Amino acid sequence: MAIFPFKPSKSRRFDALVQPHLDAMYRFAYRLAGQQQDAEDLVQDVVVKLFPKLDELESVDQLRPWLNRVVYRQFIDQVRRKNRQGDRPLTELIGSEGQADWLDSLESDSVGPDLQLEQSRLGPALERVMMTLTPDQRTLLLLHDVDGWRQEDIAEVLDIPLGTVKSRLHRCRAALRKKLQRELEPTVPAGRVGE
Amino acid sequence: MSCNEIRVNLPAYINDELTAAASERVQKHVAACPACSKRLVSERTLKRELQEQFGVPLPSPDFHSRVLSSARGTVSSGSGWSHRALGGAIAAALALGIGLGIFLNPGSVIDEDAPVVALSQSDADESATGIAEPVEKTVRLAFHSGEALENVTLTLELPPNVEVASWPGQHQLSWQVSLDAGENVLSLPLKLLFPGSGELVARLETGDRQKTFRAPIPDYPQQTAEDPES
Repeated sequence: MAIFPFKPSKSRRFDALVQPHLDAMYRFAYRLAGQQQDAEDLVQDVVVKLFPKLDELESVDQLRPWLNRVVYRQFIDQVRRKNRQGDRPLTELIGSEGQADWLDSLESDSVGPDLQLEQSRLGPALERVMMTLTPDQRTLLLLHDVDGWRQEDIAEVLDIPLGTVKSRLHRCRAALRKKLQRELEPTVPAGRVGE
Repeated sequence: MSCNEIRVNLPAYINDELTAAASERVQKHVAACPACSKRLVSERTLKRELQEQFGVPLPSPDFHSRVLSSARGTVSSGSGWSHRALGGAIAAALALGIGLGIFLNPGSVIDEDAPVVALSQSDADESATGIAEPVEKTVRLAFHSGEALENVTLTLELPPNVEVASWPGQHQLSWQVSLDAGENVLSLPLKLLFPGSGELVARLETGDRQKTFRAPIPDYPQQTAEDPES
């Protein structure tokens, strides 16, 4: 029996294009939404929206960043609708900021304290400190440090200048180190001060 | 490069996103600078700890299928895309004057999930070059299936005056196929060997289910050029 040369259906063409990227879209959506169910719903909303635009999808060269951009815009739209905040930027990630040359403006100690991190001590402290960062700072840091996104990829998907990504990542990390240092410093019980 | 500049670049260095030259500068500096070397260890520790604590949980087991089927479901049930597409194929056929279309009868063997087939001519050789000259005509078969079906046997039966261009001399052909939920389109180049009547029979079989469709063969072109010697 020969293989019958069916022209792939619209569904099959769509699946072939999108399915290889679903997990990556989900991981990104999770970074944005912070919950598994919300992340799955976000991706589903995007995929439903994209199905009628198969021709456009087929013309995209780099599909993964393109899809992630759609995920990001969908997320921003949802947040805006929920918060009814109109055109006001909701996240630092999409806010505008003058970033001529961020390296020029760094202070000598701006890379954060020279904290010597011991993995065994980090556990709960790191989690506590991460929770003090804004969701946007956390997202940025995790995309880069945990998910391995290159700074250029982040800039492309979030549609912000590369310099802005660099400066924000840098400030996030400096803030994280500073807070970690405070968390990990040995504390003196209050009642014993001055003894 | 100063220690400060090196330290700023350490995360990108660890992430393997520096240029080869920049990466080499960091390596050389770290090798010669104990403070930056310690800082590199510290950055790696932080990254490793972040990775351990802030991984992304796996999505639900049915995540892929649910998401993809929701996309198809919304479109087909909401806007009637499948039926519109099928209707379009038939409309095109009518415009070309051959008007072929077959639909399942109610209560058929494969019931509501069964494929629907529409047959339309999408291309034709309009020239009439002489008596009994083979003429190629491409027809589109659109099978509409309510569900995805694997291991479906598709059998075509052709009358003596017709063959599939790629399989000369054969009037019964079978293929093992998979059908998507929705429309499955096949462009089938037929060769009309000589004028004649007959029909194309398409039979789909899967498991114990079977359905047969019949469609008239496109007309053999009439002679339009006058022969001055006749």
